[in-house]
Amino acid sequence: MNFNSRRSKALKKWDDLKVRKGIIIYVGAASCGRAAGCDAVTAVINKYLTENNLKADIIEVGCIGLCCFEPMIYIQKDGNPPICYANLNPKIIPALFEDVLQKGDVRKDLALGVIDKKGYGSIPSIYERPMLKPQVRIVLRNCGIIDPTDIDHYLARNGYLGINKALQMKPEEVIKEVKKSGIRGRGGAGFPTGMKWEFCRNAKSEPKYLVCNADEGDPGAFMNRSLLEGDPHAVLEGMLIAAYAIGAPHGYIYIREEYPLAIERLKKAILQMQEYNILGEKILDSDFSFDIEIKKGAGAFVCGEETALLASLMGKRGMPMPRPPFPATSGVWGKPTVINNVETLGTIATIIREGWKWYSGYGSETAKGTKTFSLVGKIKRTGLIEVPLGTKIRDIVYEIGGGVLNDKKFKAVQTGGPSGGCIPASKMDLGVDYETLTSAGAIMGSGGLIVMDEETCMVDIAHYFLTFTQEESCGKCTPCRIGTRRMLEILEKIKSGKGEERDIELLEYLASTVKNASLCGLGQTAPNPVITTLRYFIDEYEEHIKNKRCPALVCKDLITFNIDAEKCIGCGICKKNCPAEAISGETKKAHVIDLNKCIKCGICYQICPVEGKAVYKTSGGSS
Amino acid sequence: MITINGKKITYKEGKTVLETARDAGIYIPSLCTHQELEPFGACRLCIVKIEGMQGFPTSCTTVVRDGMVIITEDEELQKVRRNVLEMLLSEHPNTCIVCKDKSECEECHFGPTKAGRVTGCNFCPNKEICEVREVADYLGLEDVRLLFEYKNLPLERDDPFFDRDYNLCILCGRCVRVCQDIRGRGTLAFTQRSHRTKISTAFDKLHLDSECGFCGACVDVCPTGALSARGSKWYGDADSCTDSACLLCSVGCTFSFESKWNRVMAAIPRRDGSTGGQACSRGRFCIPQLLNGSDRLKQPMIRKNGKLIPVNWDEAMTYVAEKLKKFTNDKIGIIASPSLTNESAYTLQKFARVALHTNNIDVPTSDFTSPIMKTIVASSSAISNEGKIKNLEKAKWIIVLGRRIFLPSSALNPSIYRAKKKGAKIILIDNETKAKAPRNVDVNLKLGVIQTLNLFYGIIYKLFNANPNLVKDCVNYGAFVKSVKNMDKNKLGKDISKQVEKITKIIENSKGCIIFDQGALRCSNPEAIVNAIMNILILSGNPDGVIPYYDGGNDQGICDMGATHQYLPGYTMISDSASIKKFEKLWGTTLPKKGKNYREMLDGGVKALYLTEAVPEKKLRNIEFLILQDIYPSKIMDKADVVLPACAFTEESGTVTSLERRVQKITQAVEGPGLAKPDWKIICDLAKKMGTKGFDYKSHQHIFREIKETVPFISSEGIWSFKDKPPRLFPFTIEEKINELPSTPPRYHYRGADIVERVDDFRIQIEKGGA
Repeated sequence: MNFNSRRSKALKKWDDLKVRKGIIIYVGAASCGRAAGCDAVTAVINKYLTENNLKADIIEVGCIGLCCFEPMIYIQKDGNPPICYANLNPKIIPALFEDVLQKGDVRKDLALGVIDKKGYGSIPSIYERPMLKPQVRIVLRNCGIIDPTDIDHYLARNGYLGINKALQMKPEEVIKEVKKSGIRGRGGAGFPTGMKWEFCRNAKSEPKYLVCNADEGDPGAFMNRSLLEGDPHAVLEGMLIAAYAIGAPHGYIYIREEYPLAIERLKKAILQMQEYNILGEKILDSDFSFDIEIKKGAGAFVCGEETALLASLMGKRGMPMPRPPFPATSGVWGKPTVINNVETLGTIATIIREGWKWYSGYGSETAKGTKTFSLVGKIKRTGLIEVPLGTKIRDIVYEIGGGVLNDKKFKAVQTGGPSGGCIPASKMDLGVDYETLTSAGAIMGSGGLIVMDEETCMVDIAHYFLTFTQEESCGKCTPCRIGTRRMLEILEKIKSGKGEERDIELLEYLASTVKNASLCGLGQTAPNPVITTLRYFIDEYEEHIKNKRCPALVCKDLITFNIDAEKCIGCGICKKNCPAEAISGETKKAHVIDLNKCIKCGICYQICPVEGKAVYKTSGGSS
Repeated sequence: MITINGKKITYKEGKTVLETARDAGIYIPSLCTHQELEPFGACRLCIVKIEGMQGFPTSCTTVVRDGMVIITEDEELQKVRRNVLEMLLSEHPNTCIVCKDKSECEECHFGPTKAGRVTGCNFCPNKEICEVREVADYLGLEDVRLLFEYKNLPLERDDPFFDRDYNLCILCGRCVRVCQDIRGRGTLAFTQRSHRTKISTAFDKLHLDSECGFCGACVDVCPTGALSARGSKWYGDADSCTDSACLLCSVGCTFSFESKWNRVMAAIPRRDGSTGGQACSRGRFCIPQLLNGSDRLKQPMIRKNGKLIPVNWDEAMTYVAEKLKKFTNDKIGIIASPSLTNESAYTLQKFARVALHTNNIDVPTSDFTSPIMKTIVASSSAISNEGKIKNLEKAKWIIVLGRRIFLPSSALNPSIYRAKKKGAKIILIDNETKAKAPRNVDVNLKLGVIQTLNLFYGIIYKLFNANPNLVKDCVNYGAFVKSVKNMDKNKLGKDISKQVEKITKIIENSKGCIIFDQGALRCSNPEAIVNAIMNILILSGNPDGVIPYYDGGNDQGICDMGATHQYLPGYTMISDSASIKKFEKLWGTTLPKKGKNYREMLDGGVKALYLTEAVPEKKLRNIEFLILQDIYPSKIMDKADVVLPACAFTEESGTVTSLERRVQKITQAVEGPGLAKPDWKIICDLAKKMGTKGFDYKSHQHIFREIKETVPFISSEGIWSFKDKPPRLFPFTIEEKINELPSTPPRYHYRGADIVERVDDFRIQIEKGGA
């Protein structure tokens, strides 16, 4: 069967699905959905359906990006557009199903929106929701919409039209198209993708290799994971196009072992591609042959760095090597290699299909197209978002994210994961693109956005991220291995109130040495959290050092927990839950914390039922 | 042309900035680079500024390009370097590096203080070689502002030969790289990550359990005191260093012997030798303990009333001379130790032939050497000047007969590994059916002697028929063609024919070598094997590819010198009456036409026996007069009538010839113990006592001049070869009746001294099967 007949068959299957009589239930079953408990929800659904003798198809889809609304399902009834119900739990399922399926009540109170451009009845389209409205979904266009385990769904959504078109072009033309689109590496460093391909294509050595870097390791980042779980074929099609452009007969996907679902989806997708002659010998009856091997990483953050990735891929210890030679001239097995990030590859097919002009219509002057971010932290609406490059931080935080959690004060946003920097609220009007973020001391990174509110201590944040990077240092070069360790020790000292005035100077010199003298990107960017917090929040450091006070009331050694005798209602809950038995007091009388016994775990503070909290924190004599 | 610090400098293509600068005499500090190893870029001290490049590129990893403008030293660079070094010293004991009283202390404090743990330079055995100190001095680091963190790792002293104190380790990775990239072993690796990163073996096992060969390459490249040779670490500065070579096997590694108090204390491999600074555990670690024993023979002794009584040299010589006169020439025999120098061997055979008029002289290793010599003499082999070991590295295939060559203690391993890294196929043929293939072997065929021969004949058949014209000019061409034509291919058997296809495919039309050890020839017709090996090499276009791995240090030289019963110096057959005239004239004597070999002599063929090394006493039959000239007492001394103390190879000068036929110098490093003398001196004195002329040599150079006169192919030090002789082919017939003899364990001997017995650490290594 040729491509066109496969495609028309898939289109028909897709259209049938959309107008089919009966019930179809889509479950958001990516990792985020599973973590939120979609399995339990599905179990209850199944039970309900059997008990009520109802027949329904259950389709597991990926993540639509509204992580704060998980677990969510869409119910499609008798060919009507599917309606999304969010924040479900097993308890409300029977009632919901009874109303929706049997009573014909769409339950507007639980409905989030209609999975369609238009609304349905009284329920508006989900794309009209404030979280989705400002977004431009190019990479994520299929996530949460299609069944990632069914290649026909992808085909029906214009899948593999890109490679089909590319195969009609010369490889050089493909590279030209990608160069013109202006797309830059989405892994963080932002090297123009087309140029990278060109270097590799022109390198005089055979065979050439293509590597998809799916070693997403930043804490709090899940862009690549969601894409691979929700739309693996998009990435695989990008790999095909890239391999065709550079002339590589063999490709690797280097993916973390910690992404079992993504690996499973990829494996399945590869099998389907082989079945459809989209992978293997003479792809789509052209002269182009290509195969893909999945290589699982063993869990080292540094293996996301391309030279360390190559070492690990070849079975060696994941330690970076100095560049040059760049992988484009000497990579896997010493051969020219292109290493592209998941998201870069996920975008390629659309660029080829729609043309460079269309793509470069999005984005800023220096950075074209869109970028996905995982929006997390102290924010109302967390999730996976995709916005044109150059979008203001303010728009992301307030419009898409809905502002800071509990309406606290917005303090800073950390971009680029542990290697990135903290951008203060005062710089909220900066647009997110490579150069702007770098000039602010942060980096674009692979797309983590962590929002912090006034209760976040910046010394503590610097300490937190540095703990991660120093722990993940491969140990090869001196500055990264020892420098980050010494910095961490100094931060610990400051956090525990033992900081000295010269510590800031020491931190600055260590940070600049680690940044300037480290071998790879990990070391060169590891001090960024410290450098940016020193730059924008030096007063917090000074408070810790001079006044032994943590203004955000976070650093344990510098704070004390107290009970406001006037507010305390003497309920005894804190007393009951205190693990150190530090709280005493008679019922209905004000309780007291014995500071000598208190271990500052913060449980009393969290569980105090009094409105406005009777338990309060103080530091350095002020609250 | 490039510019470094404003100076125009010419450069060599492909060199790094660091190499170019150092060649031009510009110092750039670095701790992880090493001339033998690929750039690593870990220590970050060699950073420089290069116009047009961002940040501070490391000079060790940046290859020079034309027109580069480089700055190696300015305040900014020095500051970053100082900061990096400061970080390094926050984890490396530094009290003696950054102390303000350092210079005064250096003057007063002489040598290291032996302490349990190293807390500063004065307690470090490797203080003198420490490269961290060098860099600290260069950068003028005066203070470490950071909190010191002693890693508190356990001292690792449970393995033989060397100690490891990873508290001193700066993780430059040299040891890991030398072990993996040069030696091809991979015993050492980085383990853990972050600041816990350390150098260790897999699962932190002992080196003994981690396939370590104890070659000591890691110790040699360590820039700090983390790795140190246990036997020699506390002696401090050596009194003197002598460039010489090792005689404990035939590879011929060159060493610098460090001596103190007239003892060799350490042997440091020299990079200018044929193995390029790589050695084995015997050469690197065993020499001091092997040669410095307190029971060395120090005085001549004569048996009087059943007891060996010390006498002076004159008395001993007179006694021997008198005694020897009582035996007929035919009943006197001499055993030449394969550990003698060329000069001593030459003198010894001359003594046999001129003073005793006998050809009864042979080496104990003649089972192995004699078939090789026969074939090598017959088939000329032109050898490139680079030598066989360097050639080995360029091979595309290497056939190895016998597992011994792969033992980690073999110094040939690095060369084989280098070839393998460049894509060579390594084929091992042995008959140890239970053992798994050693590391780096691509094909392991388990074949007995007859099967091996059949395999070779099959290969010969295929190679010849593929290109019969290649060997047209060879000697014996006609007879050879006939034997190929007569060959019945069906006799080879099906399995062998399959292997023939496989191996021929690998070896045809490409450069290769065949290495074999004495185990490979353990059969009733060893010559057939050597002949087949030569045929294969000639047919595949590699006439110089034969590498016999002798156990004896100077087996090759002893045979070259004619200390065997078939040949005079330079492989003149003793039966060749035309050629021996030259010698008769030169030595002013007539020469006997027949001689007894090693076995015949021991087995009652002679009555008086002159041993230059101990032989197994049980083998002796009907000996009436026994002379033992050796370095250590041994069991056979109970039977000896005279014992003469000889010098070991560190105590005399001369030349020796390695397995690649490289004639190289050994130089006296220390005095011999007591009255011990170099062998050639003892022999000359004895000859003179017997009234024989022609033994008035004043020095070893004097003898070497005579060797050059008599041995046409030896003209100076270096590789020798027969010139202008076309290669010779060997006709063959498929053998059906060859008895395979049981293989013997490797011979770890230096003269009468058994290294396994004398060096405890080596015994431990052997017992673990790791030598």
